[in-house]
Amino acid sequence: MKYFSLEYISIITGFLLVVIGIWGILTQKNIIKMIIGFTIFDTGLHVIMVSIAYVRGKTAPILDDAVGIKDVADKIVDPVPQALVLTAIVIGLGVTANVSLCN
Amino acid sequence: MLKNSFILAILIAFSLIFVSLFISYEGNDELSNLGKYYAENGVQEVGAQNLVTSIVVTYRGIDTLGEVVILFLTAAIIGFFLKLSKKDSKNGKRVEKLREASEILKTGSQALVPLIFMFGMYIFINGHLTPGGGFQGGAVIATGFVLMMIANPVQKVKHGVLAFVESISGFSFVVIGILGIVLAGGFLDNHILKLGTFGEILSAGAIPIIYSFIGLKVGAELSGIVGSFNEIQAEK
Repeated sequence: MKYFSLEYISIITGFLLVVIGIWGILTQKNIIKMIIGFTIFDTGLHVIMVSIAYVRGKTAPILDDAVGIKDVADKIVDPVPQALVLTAIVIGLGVTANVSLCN
Repeated sequence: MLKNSFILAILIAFSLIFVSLFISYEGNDELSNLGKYYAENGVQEVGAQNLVTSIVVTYRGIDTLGEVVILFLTAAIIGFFLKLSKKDSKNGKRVEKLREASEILKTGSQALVPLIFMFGMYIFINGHLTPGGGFQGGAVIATGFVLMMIANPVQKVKHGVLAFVESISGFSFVVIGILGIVLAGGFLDNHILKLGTFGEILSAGAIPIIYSFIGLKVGAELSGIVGSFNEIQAEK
């Protein structure tokens, strides 16, 4: 079954988190619970972005002894979406702080 | 009832979109072209062991400047509302006194807070060698600050000190970026210092310095945000 490999499991986890987050935003009446739903939505998107960056059988983009300096492109996963997720986490923090201030 | 079925319809619509995306997803067997460029040239051009760091600080340095600006705006907006709520609550009376923390929490925080601060600094100084960096280290420093605040809830947060650290480090970040235009190839170029030996702590040019400033700035901003929230709650 190809759907039981790592990238499919992580991507479906991300989709599930996004749906749970949308459900939380739409149904909860308490604003703290709505904000928690929003952060779950956010986390699901981050999981999806990181799992799209995954390349089969490759390791993290840190060039230590295990990876070495030669043939780096054959040994690591895509580092660009990971850098973008770092940006997205910070922006999510700013949005969450300001939304919770509106309470 | 109508509302519930509406919510159910929205969820089913999203699920259908996600299922179709999931079925058409194939997975990668090799890097994208952009990732391949960074992987092949990152070592010679930037010299950082952590490729994510070299992308965040150097290749996409302006992105990071934007991130830092967003964090600054968040902290500024929250500080502004804190002042507004202070003005409002002057004629109202303060309702309850904050409870003293327990002895275990006080003693434990005295032992733990310096260690947590040191760990945060370790994370942002080693940002170009190990997983980590300015934002993560700053968040760790802010957790130490939260522990300090829980242990002494009566103590006022010194917003002046936090604002001083924040503005000095943000200013130095921009100054290093402009020095990159003057001395090297462009804004936030890390070649203003020598690249050094690959894999040592003083390598990758200006990246350790830039990340230390980002870490101090993020730590001060997050601590200020948490402190402001604490004061708003205490005033209510």
